Amino acid sequence: MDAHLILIIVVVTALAFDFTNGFHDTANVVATSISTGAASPKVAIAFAAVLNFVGAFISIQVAATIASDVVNPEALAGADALNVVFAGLVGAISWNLITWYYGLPSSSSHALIGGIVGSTLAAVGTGAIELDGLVGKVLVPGVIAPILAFLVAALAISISYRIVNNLRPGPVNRGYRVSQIASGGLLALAHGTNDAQKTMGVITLALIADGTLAAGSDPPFWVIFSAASAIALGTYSGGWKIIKTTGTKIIKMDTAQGFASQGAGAAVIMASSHFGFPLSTTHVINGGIMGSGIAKRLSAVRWGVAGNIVTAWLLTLPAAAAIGAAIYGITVLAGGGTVGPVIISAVSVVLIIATFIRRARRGAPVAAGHS
Amino acid sequence: MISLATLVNWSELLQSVAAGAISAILLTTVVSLGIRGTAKYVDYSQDGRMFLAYSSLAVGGICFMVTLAMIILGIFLMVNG
Repeated sequence: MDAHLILIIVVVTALAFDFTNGFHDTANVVATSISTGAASPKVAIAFAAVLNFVGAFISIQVAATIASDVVNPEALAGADALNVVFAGLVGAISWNLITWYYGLPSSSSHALIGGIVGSTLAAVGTGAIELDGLVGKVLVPGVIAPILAFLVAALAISISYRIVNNLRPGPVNRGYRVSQIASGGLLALAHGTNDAQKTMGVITLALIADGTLAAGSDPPFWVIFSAASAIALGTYSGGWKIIKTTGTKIIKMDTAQGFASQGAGAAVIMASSHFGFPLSTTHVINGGIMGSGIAKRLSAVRWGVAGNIVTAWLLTLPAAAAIGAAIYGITVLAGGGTVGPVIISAVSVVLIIATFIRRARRGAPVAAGHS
Repeated sequence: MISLATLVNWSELLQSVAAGAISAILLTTVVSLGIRGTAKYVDYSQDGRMFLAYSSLAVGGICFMVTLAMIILGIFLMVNG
């Protein structure tokens, strides 16, 4: 009964993380469409939520990477395996909420991987860490992808400006505004493909560590469906404060720049998902936004804000790892078993509600372009 | 001694980089050509130069179809591994 209860807590916590991931990343997906006026906030967010859901069913390569290539599920088995996964998830959720509270678009994906690696290190040391998977499939692609999105968006916008040069701005802006519906849709699809799979991977990792699934198993349909639903609901709930930061504070965009940054982000994320690289969609999309800004003029990018975002990125892995390790320590102090996760879950729910109330009292966040 | 070269599957990584870069540049170029075609159609039709107007519109239509085909092909490739 204890094992089943912890498994249920882990699955619910993973889906809660998925919800916060969608909530946190709404900005990445819809900010450019909203800030250029290609879509109203409500339409853009509803459209993104539906395509997030659909995107989760396209591929399972990233889920496979998270389930078996970052930590070894067989090495976790028996060593309070479910508590390790639970602690990692709480570490990731905590960091997501902290960065949401301060309006910083940090990486939900790196928070998740950092949390899981931190709790695994605290539980069984370095032996369970799959170094080749962590470095080769997470860290190196994680560094390359935003740089690639930056360069591709810069090149794409330069080509676009050359092609539409000397044309009347009215029809051109209308054309790019309509095209942004397609590029925004592709970006939402790509986001669902890469990010929903991370939660599928974590639940699959827990099911393998628990012995419910055999090592190397694909995620069952109910896992795919529930992860897709959770991220879509989170996206629909939105994150207005972060939308403002991403959509208007990094650069002021025209419709062509919005299209180029979304197209570059979607292409890079989808190609990476195909090869099972669990990217930070936040890093890639912000890389694309900065690339499309710098191609116009260097001063178009507000480097101070961009610097704050980079700082949040750098802090994410170690901070989430530290919280994950600390949470695992608390479950050990609570005697292992279900007691720790139940207490931590109850305290977390209270803290999350308090955070939302405090945030609401500070004033409702304003949508981009409306402030 | 573990080195970065042995930890990373460079072939997969380069394929991913090439696929992302090429598809993004192609998509943006084709869409921009399509927008140029439709914008030129408006200009030419206002000037009464209908042959050039319809030619530009055809370019816009072809670019729209190519864009749609690229998106469908990309999703098809992902779904089919």
